[in-house]
Amino acid sequence: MSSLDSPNNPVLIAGETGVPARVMPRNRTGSALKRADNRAAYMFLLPWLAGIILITALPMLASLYLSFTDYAVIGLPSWVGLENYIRLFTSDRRFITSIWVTLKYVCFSVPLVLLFSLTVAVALNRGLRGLAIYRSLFYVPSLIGASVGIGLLWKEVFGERGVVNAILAWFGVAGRGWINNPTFALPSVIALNVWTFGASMVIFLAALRQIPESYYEAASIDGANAWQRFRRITLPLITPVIFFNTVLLLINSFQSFTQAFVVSNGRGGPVDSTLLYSLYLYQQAFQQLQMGYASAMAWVLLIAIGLATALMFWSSRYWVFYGDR
Amino acid sequence: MHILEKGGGTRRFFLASSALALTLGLAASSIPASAQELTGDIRFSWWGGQVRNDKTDRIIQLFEQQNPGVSITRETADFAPYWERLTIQSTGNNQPCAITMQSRWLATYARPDILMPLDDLVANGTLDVSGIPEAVVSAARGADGNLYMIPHGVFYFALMYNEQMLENAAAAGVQPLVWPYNWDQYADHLRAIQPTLPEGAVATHNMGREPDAFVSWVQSHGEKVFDGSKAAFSRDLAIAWFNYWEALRNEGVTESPEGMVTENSALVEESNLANGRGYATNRPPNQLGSVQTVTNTVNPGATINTRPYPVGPDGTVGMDLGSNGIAIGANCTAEQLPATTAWINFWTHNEEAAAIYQSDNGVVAIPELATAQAENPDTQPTQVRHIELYQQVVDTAQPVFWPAGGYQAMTDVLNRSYDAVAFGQLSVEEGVDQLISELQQQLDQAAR
Repeated sequence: MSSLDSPNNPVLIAGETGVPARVMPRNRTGSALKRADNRAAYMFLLPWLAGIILITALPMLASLYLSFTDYAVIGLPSWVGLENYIRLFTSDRRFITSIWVTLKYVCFSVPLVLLFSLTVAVALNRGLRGLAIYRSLFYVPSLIGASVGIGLLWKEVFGERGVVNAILAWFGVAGRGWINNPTFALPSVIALNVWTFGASMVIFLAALRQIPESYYEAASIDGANAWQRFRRITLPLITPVIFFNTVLLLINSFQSFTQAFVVSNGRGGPVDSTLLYSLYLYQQAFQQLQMGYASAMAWVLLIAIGLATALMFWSSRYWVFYGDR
Repeated sequence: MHILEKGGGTRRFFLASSALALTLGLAASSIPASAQELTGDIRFSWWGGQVRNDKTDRIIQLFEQQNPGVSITRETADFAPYWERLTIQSTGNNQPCAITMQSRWLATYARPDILMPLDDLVANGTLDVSGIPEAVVSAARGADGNLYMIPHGVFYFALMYNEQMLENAAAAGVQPLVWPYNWDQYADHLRAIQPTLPEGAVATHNMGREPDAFVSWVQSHGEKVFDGSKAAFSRDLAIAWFNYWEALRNEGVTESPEGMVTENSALVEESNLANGRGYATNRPPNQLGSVQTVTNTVNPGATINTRPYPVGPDGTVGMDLGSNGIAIGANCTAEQLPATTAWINFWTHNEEAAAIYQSDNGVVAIPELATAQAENPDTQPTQVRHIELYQQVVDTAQPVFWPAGGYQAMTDVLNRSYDAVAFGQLSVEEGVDQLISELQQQLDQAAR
């Protein structure tokens, strides 16, 4: 072992003059500074760390435990093993209904939002004057669309004496209570979600503006028409953004709650037609006070979202084009 | 002499001291006991709209003026979120000291770790239940027999109707409806009145999905709604209920199914009754005043009145009766308890407070106060009618014992089951089977 490797061997930290600035043990110099740096880093991380542990990790673990208990909120939980999970899939008709309603919601809502937001983004990308204003206007609904106020507004718009029926009446068409009809209630909620396309649109718009103009010029010279340019240039180049938006929308749609809650007064009606999964989960937890059962539902939802996201990532290798590969 | 003088001085001293003590004692005793002793901050929670909030605030101010050492923190919410909040508060042992409670929800919370059993406080005179009928007090007990709430208002359910529509119908030859009328007679009355109504108006709201109406139907036919935590009404009787309303709906006497759902959740301002689009509906009579006020705005000239539910074939009255009162949170500290009990006594017995509240959340539980309100010329006519109808039917009412989660379960399942029938997704029999099985399932879950 050399002297420098000795644990307590002092090292001179010298300035240009050769005068020792301070004398510290060689091995403590690095580690002490490192520790000090780490301490500072941990201090900066502490708020986030506390948040992730106290607000996310611990409640998740608690909910995992509660999903194996019978817990009526008032009182103490009692261990029931897998009973909640078995009951979900074997004897709860409304659970199956809520899955079916949510799947319909996701299957219609996600493609429609993608389609609508991409269409508007393409339209706005054509060098319109006042683009910033249009972009802001279209973005506003996505800021307020999930609010209770907009849910109430939607209820009035699609109500029996609402704006939609008033417009239909001009054309001699007799309207109906769209929100209060089991056939039309879910489409009304989907329409509200599609209306909040602004966030996806802004992301699409950013992606469209990244495509070099020279690609389109070259294609035009080669005789490609507008559709061909869109199909062969635009779409492939924005597939990473389509993928990104799809995953985000998918996750949000599976967890959708507020709009269905507001338009159905928290019931998921009429006749369970708007009983989205999260709404049924809420009913079990806070109306019927079956917190253990609701926790099991939450974990089933988490797994379902995880599987759907994993499926998206797996499929992305076949349709997402990354320019650097 | 000196001694005498001294002794006289001593006597004078004692006399003066005694007089002073007596004066101070008398002065002290003339101050209400509460005012000289009560201190502390307590929380009081209730449900209701702006009118009730304002009245409650005035009563709290009155109490705080009389008890300057006490401060009451107000916690209010609408009816449905009120119970959700109370549940969460109870979970965290953070419930208010004074909690407005309802007999229909009591079973869910009636446990010593959530609400304080009140029998001892009543027995030693701390809580005053004098004048409250024993039957009303009994309905405030939990399944364990403990008293958990001091009732201050008794509520009941009835029908409301548009008086002008009835007058027009009478002019057209429709026979007046005189109580006690049975369910068939009531249906015939609605059928007769339908052709006399303005275009687009219906004779009645479809009550097939309404728990209050269903309870009246079941009890007026001699059956019980619940037996402990079991659904006790028969399948045949529930089928007859669904058929009763389906027949009226198919004859055009009620709204469409969509209209029925809309009407069920409508604000008074939007309701068919207030807007002259409907002749009759079910609303609690304590809302008569607010319904009339709104009607004056949206449909000037129309007057709304209230009448009891129909009786059964043999004349049995099926009306449910419940009570609202104040419970004490189990987490209320010994220091807060005197102010809390004084507040409950004040709310329940103080005449000035009762005059402010005007039976806003149920007819005041003490009959003498109710009579005084009805006879007071300053009381709104709608509230007088509310009290008079209560006094007319109270002796024949049949209070339902609602098990834990029972009201929530009945509302949820009856709504969905009848809706499925009205929208043609289930047959009447299938709807009733769903009603009974899912109601029992929810009751079993709540009872575990």
